[in-house]
Amino acid sequence: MMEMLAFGLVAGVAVGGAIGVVAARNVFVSALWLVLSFIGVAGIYAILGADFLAATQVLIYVGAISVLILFAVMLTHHVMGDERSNNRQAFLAFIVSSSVVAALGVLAYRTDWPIRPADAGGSVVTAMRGDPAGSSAASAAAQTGASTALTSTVDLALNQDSNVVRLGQALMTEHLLSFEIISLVLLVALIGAIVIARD
Amino acid sequence: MEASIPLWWYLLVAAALFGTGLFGALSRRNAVGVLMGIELMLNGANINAVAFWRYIAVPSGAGLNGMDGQVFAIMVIALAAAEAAVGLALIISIYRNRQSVLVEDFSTMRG
Repeated sequence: MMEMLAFGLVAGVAVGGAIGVVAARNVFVSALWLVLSFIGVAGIYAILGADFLAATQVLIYVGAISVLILFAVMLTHHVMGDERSNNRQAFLAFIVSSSVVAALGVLAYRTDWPIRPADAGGSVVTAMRGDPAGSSAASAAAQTGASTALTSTVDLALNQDSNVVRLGQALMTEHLLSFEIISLVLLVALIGAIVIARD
Repeated sequence: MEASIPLWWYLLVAAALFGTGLFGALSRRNAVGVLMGIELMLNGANINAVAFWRYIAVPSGAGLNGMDGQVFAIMVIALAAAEAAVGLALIISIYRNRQSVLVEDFSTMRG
């Protein structure tokens, strides 16, 4: 019951902030609503048990992206008098987006999701514990005494169901390629942003 | 404990965020507002990924960690950061050249 109340609170903050984003006439005000919506999404992550992701959401979205958007709004400031903030297709866009929401909601409600049984909450942990070193061939090759001590420490942390340890292992073993690619994408975007913005 | 909130509540909230972002991206005249709508849509997709990670049974095998949903969400967050940086740089550059941030003024390449 308590967590339903908490879920209602954070979901209300997230959705209310989102509605504020699209309803505010001033872009600066809607950027501030966007911050509120991001905080609500971070609360949803926290309720879902993804603590690291909640912290990342606060750091990157609330901390970085919102400040970036606010700076862009201030740098491109022009007098928004009584001109309209929405374009002519706003009514059509409203129809389309509300029908998308309705379709997705009906689909989410009516689909018979294969829900994980409640007692198997640690199933991913036990599956992982069977092969503590993961599929990393490198760590298997360098199986010294220090690395076995490290593995047992990690195994202990896995028993405590630590999200961050499991996430770090997943990023460094089975998702290593996408991790490297995303870092390359970030680097290219950084350089591209600098080159585009200063001419 | 966590099963007391049904999965479709999360999916409904995610759909609401996605739809609101879609409306913002389609209807805003200010290019920064369009970008904000896109950020909202990405957040809705992220909530879906994490909710499915939490609720849906994953096939567990050797070496599989079962953290795919969260890894996916992190990738989306990184891509959103890159997209916001490049998009805002583009908007600032266009504003410098054309003194406008309204989307309907960006029509130089229209045939």
